[in-house]
Amino acid sequence: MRRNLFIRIMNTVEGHDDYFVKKRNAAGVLGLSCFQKITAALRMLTYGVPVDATDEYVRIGESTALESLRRFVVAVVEIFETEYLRHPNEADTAHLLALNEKRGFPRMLGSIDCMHWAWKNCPVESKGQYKGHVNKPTVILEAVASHDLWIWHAFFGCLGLIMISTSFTGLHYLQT
Amino acid sequence: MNYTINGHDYKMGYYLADGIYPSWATLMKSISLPMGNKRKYFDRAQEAAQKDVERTFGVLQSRFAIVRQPARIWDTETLALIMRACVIMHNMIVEDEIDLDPNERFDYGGENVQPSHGIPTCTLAEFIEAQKKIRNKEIHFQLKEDLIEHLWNQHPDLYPMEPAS
Repeated sequence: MRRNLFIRIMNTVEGHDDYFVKKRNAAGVLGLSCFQKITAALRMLTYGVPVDATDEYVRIGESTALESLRRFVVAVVEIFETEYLRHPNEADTAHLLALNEKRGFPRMLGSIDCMHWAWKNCPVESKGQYKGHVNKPTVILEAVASHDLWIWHAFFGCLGLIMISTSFTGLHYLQT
Repeated sequence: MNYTINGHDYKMGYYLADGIYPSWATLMKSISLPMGNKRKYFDRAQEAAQKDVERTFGVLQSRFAIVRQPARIWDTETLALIMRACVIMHNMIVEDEIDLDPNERFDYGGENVQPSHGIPTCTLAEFIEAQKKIRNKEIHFQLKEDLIEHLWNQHPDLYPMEPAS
């Protein structure tokens, strides 16, 4: 992620959720800045570090880091989903069709596949539900992507749900 | 919107998929044991194009390491939100880093595509009818044969074949 994109996300998220604004508490002590909270959240997402490892770099407590991660992902989904995970509009579809026609597949709209994400802390009572051909509980991301690595549709969940949602997208999009 | 491949008319688009997907009219799989040059060529082309989504997952995992290692979160709601946020930020990075003609994409290019076959389905009968169309096996195999011919006749040099060993 380039710096200007990071700054853009940070400023938009700060404007969206008051939690990220730097405030004074009742005693007049300054709280954590937006930079600290978002850096902590992004370090967990991009480097996959444990929560309590973020405080060495950004001086933030474990529970605050977790809280900012949760609020950060909610804010990102709320703000950017309409643009960056939208259903393909007419121009997108035309572009995809032209591109794939050139590659030898007329009327092809993308490639679909599943990715497993192992779930270490899956609750015991629902472990069976999240197991498939992999022997550990996993959650599945099913996505449709195009040549430029843009993800057009993303479904997330356990095994049975995925095929259902696929056929639903089929209904709403493939019949254009 | 209709289109014609090799003399047959088709009404729906389709996605490229790998072997575990069912043979539906809206999914196109590769051939597991291709016989003959035409089929081998189709197989190669299908796998070359279907690889896009595998690359996407690879890039997503290397950008967001949290997706690669076992998740430590306790509830599915947060997991789903994290995954959605990662996908969204992945798309933002794609948009940010790609060298693209500025008037080509990524702006609001008109309304969402309106499906043409009396969708949204309101009644159960309509729903079943639409499901039947999507899961039609005959169309799947006919489309596959037509794509094999189409690739062989129209794009013979697009995907280089490895020399037979």
